[in-house]
Amino acid sequence: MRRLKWLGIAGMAVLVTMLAGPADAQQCPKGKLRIYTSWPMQGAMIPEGTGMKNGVDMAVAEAGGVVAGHCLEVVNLDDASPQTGKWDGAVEAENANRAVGDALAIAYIGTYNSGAAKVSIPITNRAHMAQITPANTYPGLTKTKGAAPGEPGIYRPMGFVNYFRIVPADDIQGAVGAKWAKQRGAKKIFIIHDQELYGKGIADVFDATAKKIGLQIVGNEGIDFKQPDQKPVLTKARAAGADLIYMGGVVDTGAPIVIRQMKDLGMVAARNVRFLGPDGLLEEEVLKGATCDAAMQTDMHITFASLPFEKLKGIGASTYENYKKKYSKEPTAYALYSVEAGRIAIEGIKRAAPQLDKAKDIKEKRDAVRQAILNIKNYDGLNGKWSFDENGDSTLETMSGFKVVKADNPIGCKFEFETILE
Amino acid sequence: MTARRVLGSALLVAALFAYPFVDHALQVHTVHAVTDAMIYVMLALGLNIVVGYAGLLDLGYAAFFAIGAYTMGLLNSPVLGSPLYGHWWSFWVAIPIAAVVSALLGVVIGAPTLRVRGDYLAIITLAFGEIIPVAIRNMGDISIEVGGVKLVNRLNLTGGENGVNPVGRPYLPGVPFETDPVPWYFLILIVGAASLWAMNRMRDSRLGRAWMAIREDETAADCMGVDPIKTKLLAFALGASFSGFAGSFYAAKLQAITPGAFEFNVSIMLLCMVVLGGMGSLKGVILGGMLITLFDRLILAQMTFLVRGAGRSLGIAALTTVDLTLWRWFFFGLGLTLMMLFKPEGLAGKRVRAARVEVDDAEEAAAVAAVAPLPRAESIPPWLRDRVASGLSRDGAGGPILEARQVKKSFGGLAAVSQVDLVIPERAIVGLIGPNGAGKTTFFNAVTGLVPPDSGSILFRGQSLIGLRPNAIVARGVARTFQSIRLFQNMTVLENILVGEHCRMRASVGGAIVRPPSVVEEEARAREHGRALLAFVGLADQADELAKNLPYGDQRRLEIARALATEPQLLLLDEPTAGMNPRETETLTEFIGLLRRELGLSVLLIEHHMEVVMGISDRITVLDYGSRIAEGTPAEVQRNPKVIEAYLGKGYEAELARA
Amino acid sequence: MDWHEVLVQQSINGLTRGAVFALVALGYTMVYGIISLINFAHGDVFMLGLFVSLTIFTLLGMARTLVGWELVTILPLVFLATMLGCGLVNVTIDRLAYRPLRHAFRLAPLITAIGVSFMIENLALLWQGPAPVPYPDIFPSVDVLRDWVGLDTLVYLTTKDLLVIGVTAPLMFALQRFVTGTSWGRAMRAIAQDRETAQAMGINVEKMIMLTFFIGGALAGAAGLIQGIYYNIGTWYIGFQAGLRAFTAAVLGGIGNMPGAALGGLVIGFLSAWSDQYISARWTNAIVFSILILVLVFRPQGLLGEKAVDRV
Repeated sequence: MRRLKWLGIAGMAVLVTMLAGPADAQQCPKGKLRIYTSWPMQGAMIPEGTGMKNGVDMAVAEAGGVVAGHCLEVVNLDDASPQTGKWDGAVEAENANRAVGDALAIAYIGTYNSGAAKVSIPITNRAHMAQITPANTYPGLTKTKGAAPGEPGIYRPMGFVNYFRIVPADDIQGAVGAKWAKQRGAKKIFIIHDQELYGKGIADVFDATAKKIGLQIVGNEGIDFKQPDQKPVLTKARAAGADLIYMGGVVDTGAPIVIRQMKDLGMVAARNVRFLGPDGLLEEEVLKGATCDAAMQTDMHITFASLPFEKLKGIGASTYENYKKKYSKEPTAYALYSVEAGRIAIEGIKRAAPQLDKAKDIKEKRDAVRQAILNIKNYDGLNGKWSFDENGDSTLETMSGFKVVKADNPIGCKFEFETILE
Repeated sequence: MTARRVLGSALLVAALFAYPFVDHALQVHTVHAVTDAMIYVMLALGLNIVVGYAGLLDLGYAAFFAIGAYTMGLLNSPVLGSPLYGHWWSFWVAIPIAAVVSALLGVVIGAPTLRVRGDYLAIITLAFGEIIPVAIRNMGDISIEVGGVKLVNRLNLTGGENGVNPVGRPYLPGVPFETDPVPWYFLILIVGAASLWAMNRMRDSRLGRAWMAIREDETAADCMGVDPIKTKLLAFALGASFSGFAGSFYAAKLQAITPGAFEFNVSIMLLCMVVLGGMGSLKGVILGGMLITLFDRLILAQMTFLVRGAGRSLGIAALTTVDLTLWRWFFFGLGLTLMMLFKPEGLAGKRVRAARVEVDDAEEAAAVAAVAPLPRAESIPPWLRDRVASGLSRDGAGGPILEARQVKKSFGGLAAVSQVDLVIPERAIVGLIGPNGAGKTTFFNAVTGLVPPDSGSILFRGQSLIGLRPNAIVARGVARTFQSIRLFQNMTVLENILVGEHCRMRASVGGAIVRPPSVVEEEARAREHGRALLAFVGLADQADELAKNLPYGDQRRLEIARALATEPQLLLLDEPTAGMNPRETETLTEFIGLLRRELGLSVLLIEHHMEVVMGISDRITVLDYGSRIAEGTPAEVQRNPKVIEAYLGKGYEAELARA
Repeated sequence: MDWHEVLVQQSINGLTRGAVFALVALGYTMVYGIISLINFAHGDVFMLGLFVSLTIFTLLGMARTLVGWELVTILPLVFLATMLGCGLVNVTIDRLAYRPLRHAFRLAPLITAIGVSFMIENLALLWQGPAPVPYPDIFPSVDVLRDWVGLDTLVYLTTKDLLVIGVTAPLMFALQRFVTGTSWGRAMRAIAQDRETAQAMGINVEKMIMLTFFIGGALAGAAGLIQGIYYNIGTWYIGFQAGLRAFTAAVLGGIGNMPGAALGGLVIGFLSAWSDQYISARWTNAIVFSILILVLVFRPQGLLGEKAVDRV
């Protein structure tokens, strides 16, 4: 009897899931197409994940939900693992497979984490499906510079480009960061990273560029970011005479602790030690954890792989305004790029409209869209006119530098645009 | 097999076969998720060997998962330039290598650590579980510089934080492993079914019983001839090779692995699956795995949906934003705790009747009345007679079977046994008496190898026993019982006997799974022997009862029968009549006498019942404060003033005179 | 900095780190000593100590640097409240989760402890959120050597470092006195030796177990507060990490042995800090856990413990 009960519960659960699927009410002359998105929607990633989802929704809403006679539907997937709460390759693979297995899926927007993209790109590539990322910055996904052996070819089993990114890769940001450090007078740099793909990758590029332009690297250490005590590592940096700590990492991998304890160890601007980081740290959560006092005492600066929203012009400025109006809050770091990613997908469908009508199956439709996107040139985007190069990378290389300043908000400080970096 | 069971199995097979097609027809796209879940269930089954069968709490099982995945990944990927990559056979060759590498590492990690017991072992495995991901992460970028000379510069052994990507997929002509989850589903289904079949067979074999005996009571198992180190190591290695299997499927299916996928949480989730379903139960582990996956993927999300809906309709703002998926780990923790508190045997585990602790008078009276009949000489199993006799004839009668000289053992400066001499002639019953704390049990432990003596010699049939592990001593022909009964409580009566026969059987892992005729025959013979032995001691009807459900007197007899199953020539009985009523005591005394008379067994007996020990012993040794104060025939010992002073007491003398 | 200044500085880091480990390790060792259970949730009680004290400071409106008289009134009060709270939490855990399993099979309480640990961690995650939570600079930080002593050195010793030592040392000393010098302490040791006999001698075993859990929890609470004040940051998962290191410390010192736990904590503190400096931070965890394994395999009785005998 007990077994029957369990079976009953299981059956009910399956039934509920199936019934919960979206119902299709809208009528469209050429049927329906789906855009899949995939990034983490759990834990510390909830704000950013929601912002990115809003971005894609906004792009679809701008088009009225219909492109060239096709109704568009957005399917949001979460690639964080139930087991760890962080992005997980198995879940990302499942998401990508779900997308390519859907006969109405036309494009895939994602991921947030470069490691996840490594898993999904080959899957979408085999299905001829365009994948557009608003956030991945690991160089090897698209180019050989700053990549591991075999990259990016291993992500393109069919041999063609299907993966597009509209933000500059870390090889550019890491290098720009090193040049900025030199400009600002740093001489001896101690690098810390979180031993993750993004953090270590960008730290290694920073390391290489800094050495090339004549800066002295006095250390490059991976830390165990789960330890609340980073004093010994910072003491090591102090002992090495560092005047700049560069940390490759993201909001939840230890940067707040590092900044906070730099202050405790007297590693502050007043004693000629400063902090610099990449855009993974351009989040208010970092300031909250580190406290404004410590962030300002360490003269915290951050590089950002784009222009600040307030400095955007033309399309960028109007997108920023519209986003704020629509969702009545500031966009998160990658929300506007998600708008742009959504627009690129829609643009691709629009340009491929004639082929879509002729296509025999979904694979041909996807391929038409993929090719149309690859051929997008001089697109009027957030940061001005740009094109995709032959690797699927944006030709934009504009970056900006931020610093922390006092502000009249609950935290007590904020990131403020300081300069444009080339 | 009944018709209903056949029908049930057929339905199950049909459902498993039809599932992906139904899924496809309904367009629900669950095959990927289900296949991933099956990989986790396979891992949980491997963990079950370690935790459920052998009772070794492994908190770092994910490390073996990682090792399997990385072996597959590194062998079958261009990242480190593996020569095995890129052939049609790459995957199929890498799979067994991954399983073997995992098993070997299981042995390498296990060998030094398995000497550690219980809780400590759990912590060691946990430490390994923490070290392995760190090592994998760090070994992607090794630079060693000594005195300015770069010995190793940026050596990559594991892919570091990049992980390994891509990993080659399996190839079979015409099967689309590249794009379709269905072949994966069937591949893992077949492998999983084969694993289940193998595990099932292992459980019901000499090995499975040894694991369970270790789980129940390691010391007792050791003293019944089971080598605990070897047995535990085997469990570790087999568990590891299963996770190696699962890990390599995981890597190849995903085509990419990263070091972050193998952390402590994964080990705990697998433990949850095992505990929820029922440790040691294959069906339970599968059920547990399915429930947890279902809970995780569906129920939490749907519950969130429902709770939010309820919150909206009831106007409770707090409920409308609840996200129960964030509570996942809380629920896992709660699940572990509640299972242990209220249903430790798991959902599918055998419901165990509580051991009878208090027996009311009526029942006790009935038990006394129903006390087993006197064992009769003609019911002695012939095989036992033969085996013991063969041991005797080989050496001829007359010489001492055990000769202990100047045995000394002290604990923290306190001499528990000092300079004790004790000789047991063949076919003799020797009593060992003395006040509590005199060192009798310590002497037993020294003879059976549980505590190595500090000095002195112990010869069994002229060969030294010093330095041998208890199980080796059992194999030589010395068996014992314990002062406080140490049966394998959660095993059946017959299984207890079969563990005793362990050291006289030969079946190996391969034999247990494949079951060639020799193994089948051996197993049948062992069971036949066991049943005959149970009939001899009067427990034939309780053969399939759990040992813990037996009444006290029966447990005592079972313990002696278990010792007899090891085919001993010398039997060491530690207070066998303790806690018995006069009737039972009398029966047992007869029984011991019978063993010597009919089988020619030698017996060393610790006993406080004077009438028993004086009645059947040929010679008696008296210990006090660890030293031998007297030795002789019962009559001599009884009159020895030292013995009366230290142990028997003045009253005894008077009593003796009256008698 | 010269090499000797680096060594001194890293030793200060190790000493403060080790002092916290030692306080947590004492709780492990006491509970193990008395009921042979690795109280997996102990590290999480430590984590609760941090957040509970933070909450108290916030409720009092004192989530800022204390000055003058506040240091001798508010701070000790919050210390006591946190210790009381964490002690009670630990006792509650024992009553609800461990006590019903005193006579269950040996893995049951350990598995339960893991379950409890996960529950506490995830409640803290839901309570405090996933991001690191800043802990205010409760205790004023003064550069002792330069500002007070007037030494011209690059070694940085602050009043916060002194606070850590100034709190942990007396606590450990008081505990040692309690265990060796009072009748309750003797009763606890008697139970650790032989529970049945102790019971037969008229000792209320369950009461003493409760007391042990209370003291262990209180020490963990104190350690959590110190952690907060000293490192100024807390995350929901610090309990697991600190718990593992503290357990390593307890094993290293000889589990069940209280001076051993203190010694083990300091040794682990020093070794991990030195490893960060002289080997590499990314190997530190592997090194700490290797020590744990080596000790368990080759010297399970630890540095100060006595060899255990299997009773048959």
